[in-house]
Amino acid sequence: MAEKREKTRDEIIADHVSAEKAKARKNRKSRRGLDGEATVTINSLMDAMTIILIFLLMNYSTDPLRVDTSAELQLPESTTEAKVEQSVALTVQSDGIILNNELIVEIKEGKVVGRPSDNPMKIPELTTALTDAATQQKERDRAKGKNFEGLLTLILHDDTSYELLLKVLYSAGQAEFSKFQFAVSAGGRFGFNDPAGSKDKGVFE
Amino acid sequence: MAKRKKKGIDDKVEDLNLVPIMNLVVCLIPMVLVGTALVKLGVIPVNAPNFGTGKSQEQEEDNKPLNLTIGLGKDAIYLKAGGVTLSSIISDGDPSEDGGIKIPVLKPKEMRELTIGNTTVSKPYYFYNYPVLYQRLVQIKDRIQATYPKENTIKVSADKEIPVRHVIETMDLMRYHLCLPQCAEWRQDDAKGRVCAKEKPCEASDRKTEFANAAELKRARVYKEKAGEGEVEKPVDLWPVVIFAKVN
Repeated sequence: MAEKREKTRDEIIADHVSAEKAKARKNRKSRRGLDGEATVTINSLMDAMTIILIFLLMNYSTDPLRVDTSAELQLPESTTEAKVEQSVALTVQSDGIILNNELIVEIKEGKVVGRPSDNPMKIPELTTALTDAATQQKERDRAKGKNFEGLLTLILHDDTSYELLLKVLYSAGQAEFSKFQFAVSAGGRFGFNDPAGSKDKGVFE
Repeated sequence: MAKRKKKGIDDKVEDLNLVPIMNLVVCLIPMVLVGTALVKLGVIPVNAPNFGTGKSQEQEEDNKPLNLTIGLGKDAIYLKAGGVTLSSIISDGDPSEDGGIKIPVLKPKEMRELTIGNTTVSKPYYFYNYPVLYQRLVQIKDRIQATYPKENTIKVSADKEIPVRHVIETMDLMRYHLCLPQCAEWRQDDAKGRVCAKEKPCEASDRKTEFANAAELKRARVYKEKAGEGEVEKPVDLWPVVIFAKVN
């Protein structure tokens, strides 16, 4: 502070002049483009993108159920408006049954591949896997202080035969899952839904 | 402020390297946007079939259950009730053998091709007569109101090969009463002709028991009863409780 008061008028002018020169040099430098690049003010873009990114990541991670559709897993369409509840999810694709990213049994031509068991309605590998999942879910529920509801979310391929569906329901029932919810693609219309995009307007438009 | 470092005029000011951050932002954001926008999920709650063993839903303790069953066959939909002979209630339907009614399909089964990415899959489609099915369900509900006032359970069964897609379509029809919203504006569509441009919400008078054809059914909405002050509009149940039954 003592220094400042003692600066003479000349020194102040000299400081000012050298600062202006430095500014001019900097401007020239940037205008000349030493590297051939143009500078862009992207501060606002970065702000917006960061906020969007954080918001989307939050949304993405709090979604209770995410389904990746493929040729083996096309969800049926429905007009339902009910919301997904968090629970154990079992996926029945056209080529296999998957629980927690593990293939339980394979399916060929609509039938389960494997040795036939004495009970034709039961798929033993599925019941075993589901019993384990039920035990884990019970522990999770106990930790949260809730009762085990026995709710199983079924993500079904839309061509799954009714016979296979019943077998899955029976096997799940053996593993103490008594309530089910089918995951479907919302926003369908009433009546016949043809995702194959038929142009047959005579019967179904 | 004892000593103030005099900044040299020739000190080089380094630009912040934003490439990694921009990488993150430009790659992650479209990925996440596409991921969340692709499939809107809904759920249909169902009840376990009563196989006779294992846990299942409790039966409604009514004096006499109706046991309405809908069976999706390969060539028709069969409606049957345990407590009542349906063919005597519904006089203008096709009677089936066991006293129920039969709703034949509109066309025989077809296989349709669907191309996803590089693979082409062939999907079976059964052309059930959904408009007539809805009409019959509403008629049954109206006509048994006196004898079975609290009945709201329906059993669904289907032939072994019927794809689950049709079961879900049928369940959609059975859940609530439907209505056909009025059209406020019409517009001309080259392919379809006159098409409704702006639909008005359903009124009580729009509530439908009959849809003329599949196209009308496609425009249907769930009919929601207007509630009093501070209450939410609720749909009117038709046959909301669905139990899966075994194939016989």
